Amino acid sequence: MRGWGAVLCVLWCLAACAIIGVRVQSARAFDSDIQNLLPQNALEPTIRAAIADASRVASQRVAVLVWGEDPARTDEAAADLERSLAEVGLTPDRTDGEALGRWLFANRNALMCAANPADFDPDAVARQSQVMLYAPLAPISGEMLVRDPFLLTLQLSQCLAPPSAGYVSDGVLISGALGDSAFRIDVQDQVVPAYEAWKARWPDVQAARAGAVFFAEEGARQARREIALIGGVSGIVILALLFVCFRRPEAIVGTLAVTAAGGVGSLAAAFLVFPSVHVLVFVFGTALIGVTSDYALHYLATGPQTGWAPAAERVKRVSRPLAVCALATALGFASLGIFGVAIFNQVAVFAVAGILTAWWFTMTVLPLMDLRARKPEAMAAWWAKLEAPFLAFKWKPAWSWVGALVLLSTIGVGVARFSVLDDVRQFQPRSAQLAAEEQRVREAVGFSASPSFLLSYGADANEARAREETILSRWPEEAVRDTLALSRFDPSASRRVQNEAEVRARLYQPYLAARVQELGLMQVEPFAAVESPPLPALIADLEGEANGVHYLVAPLGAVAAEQQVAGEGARIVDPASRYSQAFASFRALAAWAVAAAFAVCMLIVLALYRTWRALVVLVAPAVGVAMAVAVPAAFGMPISFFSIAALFVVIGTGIDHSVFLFESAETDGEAKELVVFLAALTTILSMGLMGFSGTYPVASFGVAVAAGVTAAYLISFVPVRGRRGRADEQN
Amino acid sequence: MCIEPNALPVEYGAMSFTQTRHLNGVRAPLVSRGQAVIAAERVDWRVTSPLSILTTITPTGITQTVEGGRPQRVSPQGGGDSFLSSAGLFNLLVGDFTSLNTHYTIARGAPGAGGAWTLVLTPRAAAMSRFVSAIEVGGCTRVESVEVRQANGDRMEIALTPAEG
Repeated sequence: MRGWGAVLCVLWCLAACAIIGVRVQSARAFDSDIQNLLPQNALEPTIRAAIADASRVASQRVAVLVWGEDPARTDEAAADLERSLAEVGLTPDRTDGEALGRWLFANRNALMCAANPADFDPDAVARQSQVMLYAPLAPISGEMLVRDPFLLTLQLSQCLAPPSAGYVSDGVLISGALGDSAFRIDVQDQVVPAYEAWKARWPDVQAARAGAVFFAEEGARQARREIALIGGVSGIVILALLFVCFRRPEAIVGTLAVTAAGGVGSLAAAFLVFPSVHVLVFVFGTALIGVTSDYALHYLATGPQTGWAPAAERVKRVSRPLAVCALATALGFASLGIFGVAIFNQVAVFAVAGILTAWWFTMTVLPLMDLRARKPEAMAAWWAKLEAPFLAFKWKPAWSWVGALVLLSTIGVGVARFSVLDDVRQFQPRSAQLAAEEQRVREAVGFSASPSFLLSYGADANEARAREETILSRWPEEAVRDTLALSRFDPSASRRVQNEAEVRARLYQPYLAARVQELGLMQVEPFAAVESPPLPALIADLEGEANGVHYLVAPLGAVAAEQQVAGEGARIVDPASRYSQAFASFRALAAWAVAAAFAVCMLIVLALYRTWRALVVLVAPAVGVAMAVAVPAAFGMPISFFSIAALFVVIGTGIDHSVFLFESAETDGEAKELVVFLAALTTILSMGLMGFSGTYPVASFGVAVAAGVTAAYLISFVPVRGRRGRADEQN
Repeated sequence: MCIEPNALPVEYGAMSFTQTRHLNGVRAPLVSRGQAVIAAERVDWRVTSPLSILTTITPTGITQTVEGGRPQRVSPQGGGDSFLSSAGLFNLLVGDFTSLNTHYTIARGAPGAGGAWTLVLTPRAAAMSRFVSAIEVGGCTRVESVEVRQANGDRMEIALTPAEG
């Protein structure tokens, strides 16, 4: 039976390798969008879709300000940069700018600089057109004047069009939109090297960058460094421990095989379930090395402990506790899925598949690999020697008092210094250099971008537009100009009619004859039908639909973000605040979820051991949960949603040690102290190293798990050992 | 006695101008007059007739003041173009033809009376050729006239004379 299990397990591992091999060929295999850390199901569908749209549009924007001593060389460098970025998928705004110009020309009589038609000032329009006629080198033409005698197109482009590419401040702005998500690794791997190669070609030209792609690439690079550090250090220390304890290359090979099987199983499952896997999953996932290697350790330890008894007997000794451990740990990770956070769903699938694959491999394939040692007695003696100090340790009642004091003190300090962090803006450190460059671009462009946007929605496109128009018509001119609103370019049907009526009645009727005479226009056709081109992508992307609700997203500058919105079907949305509120509410919910996880663990333990005494194995994880919150708080680390999420892993992994020690006491009485110590140490090490992550969610998760598992490990000795001590005394 | 255009000294200071735009389909040419004051990193282009417009061009941007009102920043979309702000206006007005070489192919035009010279500048960049087909610059001891021929057939002439007083 186990033979077939081994064959199937090997087949699954091979299939997993094939799945990974195929999927990594795809450009969409990995992504690095920090927004995937955010709980999606906490928001209403329309707001969620609008935030996603606004983020997508904003994240695909790239702007580079180029300047230098020599204007000619600056021009050449800017042109070279635009070419280089276009080759890697950037559509320059110049292209969109021309499309926008055609759109404004085609719709000029239905659009207005004034957000409220009542504020239309025909005198000012006529006067401004006069200025444009005589201003030096204004881009006017005879053909334009025939169709647009008051130069409405140029006036609209000045008041409506967002800041775009061209000569700004003392440099040249190259801007545009990427064709694909800035959070795709392949996109970052093309755009950033193209920019760096350009920088190398133009050492005498300076540049400042703005765009999510640069921040995302920096974040992804940091994640790669962390994966290498956490995975590398964990791996090296674990291998060294194995060599010291087992003194056999087979043990190292066996442990590596189990962790590798867990690794391929987890990644393949993630690839099967999700279209792309977030890079931070691997940072969380490296913690699995410490968990899955435990299974190998527990089996391999039965070798020296039994003098390499037949494989079936060795498997029997660990089958039940390993099943409890794997189930409880898998359950702990699976609980992450209840939060509706995309990345946690991925971590849950990744971890559960990895744990189950590693468990399966340990129970079926590892016994075939770990053959009898050549000198079993010597190995057993060495193991016993290493374990002796643990066995020599006698639990004294005083230790309980000291332990209780330490626990209570830690909890007391933790309560005194308790603080929370829900503000998503503080989760990932931004590169200071990139932030400074972005600020320079913003100052040059003169647009004070804010992360907020005006969301207007309705049953159809027309209703959504009408609502946006109503809000904007109440705002001061300065705020309206600080807003990129679709309805200003493509108004509702009723506003189009109203605008055109105003333009006809108050501009053309009183002023056109004089203008024709003044210029000697031979022909004038201001209302000649013009085929309207498609709305440029820059504007069209500000519109969407979710669950039958049509919505418009209008990015706001700092001035506009200060405005009040009153009325049905519109509101100002600050995504960061929304997500911060969501994280705060999740922390409260998580307390109930932790209780639920304990209840499920209780049922599993009772079902497998069929004795109430078995519930003592839950004491250690319970204390672990308390310390996972108290220790970071005592050290001044704010508790976040991610700290609370870590409690599920504490329950899952913290229960392992109690289970093995309980098994040891309840069944054969065989000492498990050394192997439990090794297992705890590997887990604590790999989780604790996550505390060095520069990304707050990863660091707080890792520190909480490490603190909780450490406490659970130490506490796991108390009730079981006490009972065994009493048994020893009776004997 | 005329000076070879390449040997012209770079000339800062004030000058009067008359700008005439000939637009297709527009019978009356658009004529504006005024004064231009050119410094190393600043041009004040003041139209005094038929209305008062002061356009100030500096490396940090372009502002426009109409009829003595509040100066307003002019965006690239509506106020000017690359030619105005970077690709040549400064250099044309001060007679710095060496710098213009990077933007234009420069050829000698037909000579005028008394040794007066004419240069024909053709844009090198395709982006600029879409709008400007050629620029003809004429002068003797300084730049006296500039004619911009646009790709759509429109023309603009600027006559420059030393400022009075």
